[in-house]
This record gives sequence, C-alpha cells and structure tokens, in this order.
Amino acid sequence: MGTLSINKVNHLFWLGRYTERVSTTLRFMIEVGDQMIDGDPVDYHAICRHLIIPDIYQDAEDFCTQFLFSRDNPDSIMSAMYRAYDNVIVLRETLSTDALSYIFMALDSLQRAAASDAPALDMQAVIDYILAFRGSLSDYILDDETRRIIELGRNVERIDLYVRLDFNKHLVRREVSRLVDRMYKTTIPCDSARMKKLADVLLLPEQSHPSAKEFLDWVDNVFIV
Amino acid sequence: MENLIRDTERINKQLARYGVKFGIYKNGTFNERLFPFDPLPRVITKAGFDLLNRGLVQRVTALNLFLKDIYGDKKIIRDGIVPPDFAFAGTGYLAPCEGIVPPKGIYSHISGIDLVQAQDGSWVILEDNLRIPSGASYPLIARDLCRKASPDTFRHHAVVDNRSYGKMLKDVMDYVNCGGINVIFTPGRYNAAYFEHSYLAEKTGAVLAEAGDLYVEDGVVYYEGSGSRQRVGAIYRRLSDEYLDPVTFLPESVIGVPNLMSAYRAGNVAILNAPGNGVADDKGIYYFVPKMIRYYLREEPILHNAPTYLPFYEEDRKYVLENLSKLVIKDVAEAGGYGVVFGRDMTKEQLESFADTIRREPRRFIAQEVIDFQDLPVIDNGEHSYRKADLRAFVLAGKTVQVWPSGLTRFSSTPESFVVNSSQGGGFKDTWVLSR
Repeated sequence: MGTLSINKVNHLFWLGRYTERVSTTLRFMIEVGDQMIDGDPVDYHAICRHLIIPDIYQDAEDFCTQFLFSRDNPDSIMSAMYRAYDNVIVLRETLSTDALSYIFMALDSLQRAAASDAPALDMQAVIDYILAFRGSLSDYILDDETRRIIELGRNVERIDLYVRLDFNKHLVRREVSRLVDRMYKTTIPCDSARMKKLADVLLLPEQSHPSAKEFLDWVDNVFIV
Repeated sequence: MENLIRDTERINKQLARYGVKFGIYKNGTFNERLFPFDPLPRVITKAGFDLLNRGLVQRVTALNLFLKDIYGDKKIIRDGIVPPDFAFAGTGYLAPCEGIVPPKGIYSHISGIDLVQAQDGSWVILEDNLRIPSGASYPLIARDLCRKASPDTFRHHAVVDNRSYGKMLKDVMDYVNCGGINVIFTPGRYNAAYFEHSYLAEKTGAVLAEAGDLYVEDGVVYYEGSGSRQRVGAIYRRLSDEYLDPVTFLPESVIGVPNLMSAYRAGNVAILNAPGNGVADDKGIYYFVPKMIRYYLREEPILHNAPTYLPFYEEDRKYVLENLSKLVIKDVAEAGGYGVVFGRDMTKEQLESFADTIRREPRRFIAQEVIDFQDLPVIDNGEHSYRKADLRAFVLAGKTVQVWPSGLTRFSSTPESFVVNSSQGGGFKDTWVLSR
C-alpha cells in the first residue's frame, strides 16, 4: 500500500462513510422537504426510529431544521459534513488540493442552505459536489488502494443506511456485492467471521436476509479501522 | 492592475474553495480563518530583485557558517566578534546539537528573512527566521489562482513565475536526503500553519507525517505504512526544536519522535531546518549578523539591519534609556508579533516601569529606531487605502543558495498599525518579481 499510514487509512475510510452519509441522507431529506410543502404530515418519529437516533425534536419542522443543519446535533447532516471535512483536511497530499476543493465547496453549500429559506437548491449542490469529488478521485488518484478504501467506506455507509431506512433488498444486495468484491482486494484488516457472513448474504434468497440488527453488526464492524 | 481589482471577489472565492486558511486559538478554541488576500501585488523590479538576491544569499551563507562554527570550533567567540553571553545564554542554543554536522553541512535550508522598504526605496532587514519560517504557500497558491481569475494581468506584465517553489524545496530535500523518502513532519491539523504543511507536501511529493507515523529503530527513522515501513532520509519538520524528540528535549512532548536526535547525530537522516538554529535567529544575535558577514565572508553587508541597540552594552543601554519614548523595544524571546512595544505608545509611568525592567534584564531586549517604511496600497472595502507591509523572502540552501523569486508580503490590519503578523489580523499580498 505504499506510504499510507494507519491514520491515513482511517481518515480515507471515514471520509468515504461521511460523504456517503451526507449525500444519501440529503437526498432523503430533499424528498421529506418536498412532502412537507403540501403532502401528508411527515412522521419524523418513524425516521428517528429507523435511523436509530434520539427523537429529541419538537415537531416535523424542528426535525427538518435540526437534523439537517444543527452543528450541535451529532446526528445531523451538518455534523456529518464537518466530519467529512475533518477527515479530508488531513489528506491534501494524498488526494490533491483539487479533489479536496469539492468537499470544501460541499460544506460551503450546506452552510448556505442552512441560511436560506429555500435550501433545496443548495442541498442539491452539496450532492453535486460530493459526486464531483468522487469523480475527481478517479482522475487524480493513481493508487488503487487509496480509492478502494474510500469506496469501501462508502459501501459500508450505504449498506448501513439502506438497512436502517428499510430500502429495497435488491439495492442492499447490490451494495453488499460491491463491498464483497472490494473487501477481498483491500489490505485493511478485516474481521474474517463477519466478512464471511456478509459474503454469504448473497447466497441467500432475499426473503431470508438477516435482521437489520445482525446486518448492521456485520457491516459496521467488518473492517478494523 | 484594474483587472485584478475587478476580480478580487473571484480570487477570494478561489482561495476559499481550496481551503487557504490559517488556524488561530482564541480563548482556548481553535478556529480556522481565511487569510485575507489583497489583489494589489508588491512589485519588485528586476534590478531591485538582483540586489535583494545578492544580499540575501550573502546573509544566509554567513548565518549557515555561523551555525557551523557555533556548534563546532566557536572561532567567532574566541575572536571576540560575538560575546558568549549572546550565543549561549539564549533559549535558541541547544547543547545536544553540539558537535553535530548535518548532512552536506547545511543548517538553515529554508530561511525566511523579513524586510521592509524604507521611504528611499532601500531594503532593511528586520528579522531572520531560521527555525520553521512559514508563509511561502500563500503567495504560491494565490499566484496560481490569480492567473486563473485574471489571465490578462499576467499576459500584459512580465512577472517571473513563482510556482517553482515546490521543486526548489524538493531539490533541497533530495540534496540532503540520507537515503529514503522525504517527509514533512507536522504537529497536526490544529497547528496554525497546517494548510501550508499539507500543501507543501503535495507540491514536493513528500509524505505528510504526524507523531506516531515515524519511529526510530537501530538509529534509522522509518515511516510506518499500514502495509510496510519505509526508511526516511529527510524530514522537513514543522514543529519546534523542543518538541522534536522527547528523549533529548521536552520529555512531555507527545508530538515528537523518540530518539530522532540519535538518528540525526548518526547521520542517518537530514532534519530541515537543523535543530538548534534558534541560536542564530535570536533577536539579540541579529545585531551581530553584519559582523558575521565581515568575519566569515570578508565582505561588506549588501543589505542592512535596522539601527539596533543592545541594552546589554552599557553605552547602548544609556542611549536606550534616554530615548525610550522614540524607540521600538523587542523581547528577544517572543515571536509572531508579540513582545513588541513602541515607546511612543507608553505612558510616563509605563516608560519608567519598562526602563526598570531593561535595567534588571538587559539581555532580554533589543531596541530599534522606528523605521518610516513604505506603505503599500490595498483595496479596503472597494476603496484604495494604505497599510504598513513587510516582505518575507525565502532563501533555500541546498546544492546552491537561491532566493525564491517571490515572497510573502504581509500588511497590517489597520492604517495605524505597524504590526503585520497574520496572527494579529493582517492580510497578505502576492509579491511580483519582474523579469525585465
């Protein structure tokens, strides 16, 4: 793996996780925001339950504001964006100034969204910048393992969120398949028992999938980072 | 220039895009701030730079000879040019460096020399920074962004491209490298200059390492990769001497590398800049640099110091105490714009109290005449204004001693202020050297 230290591996992996957390939950919240304009009331209690986060909000509007933009709320998307920033800022020479700039612009857009009374457009810009960041990695990063670690973090986070939010099992299996393909190539230390269980999921029919709790235990703890 | 002024907002947006920031601690909290950039550059003519170049090469060459001498034969002390009180009593002198000759005999690889331009256009040296001078990264990235935001400006002005700094720095690291990879060693992301550390790592292709990434085994430094280890041949360290090696210096340091000094002493790794350089950039030693130039090089100094007095000497002390209200007094132990007091700003009681302190601790201070240095134009909220400004020139010593054809021009936060340090709220400009 060349010159990647254990610290850098850790930052790359969590960068993948946090950028995925921001983009997937933002997409979800753009839909929630749309529903709140003139649709059925949003059951934010159910969202908290699914995401397994504390239900501390006064009403649906408070949920939208705090869950999206509060820096003091560790579960918020803004906090996840700052965690992505914290991880990317120490990777400048590994990922390049050009690649980093997309994360800086994503954070800037989310801050603008927080100050706007029509935040969806800036929220969309956050997603765009994260997608651009991923694209820039393909262009700028020659080292396969560096890219792979970020992708693994992204896979893990995506499976975690898809399971929590009860997404279609077909989508979950697609992500598990990608994860399994990558995890046999990486040099990140893995828990072999959990690795096998995740790989075995693909051999099971969809209706026999493990429980969400089991799934989350396997996927969140498969890599020792 | 009109284009640059017009494009100021675009340039500042670009600086934000690329995270050009510096860290600052206020009330115990770490904050990152954009370093305010003024689009109007300092312009140095070709002839002006030729003079600066010769003067700076001369000065840094003499300072390197002084460092070699002071940790070696000490001829300059024996010959009575520099009093031992000034060489050995300050915190900059490090006894554990005694007798160590660094790879290729270079001590100050990256020197940041602070100058101002007097009203008559002559340059005056204010300070030598031979430990870990910061700031090259800001004009380096600013130039890149200005060229994107305002290409016409550079099409119509003959400005020497300054974007070779990364290569110049890499060449220096390669030249002194003892076998292995080049590393930039940072205290971590909460250091004020972290942007610079990471940016220079990118520009030089060096590995950015923190405590825990490096270790010493059998007198050799290794970088611990997650798959394998790699030998380290040169370390551009960006932390202070006292934190470098807890076995040799501060035992409580958790950001250093244990036994790094033993690897360095054995000649197995180069450390840029060499530990112990503080002995030569102490504000008290500054007084003696022109004497060093005459002593080691048998030349007259090309660039001059600000008129400086050492209260340590009775005659100077008498002058300082009689003229305190018109002098600027500097505490030799302070840096970053701190410990600088203007006599004109003190009350009668404060002056008397300060005079007592000088009588008690004469070695602690230097006094200088206040130089009426040139103000530079800045754009302040869309309007032209003027600020005090200095220039930090970067001199790199490897196979040859070279001055980077650019530099960091810092300006004060308000028209009244003489303090140009970024940690005190000032901003920066690009520094253009004209090619014709």
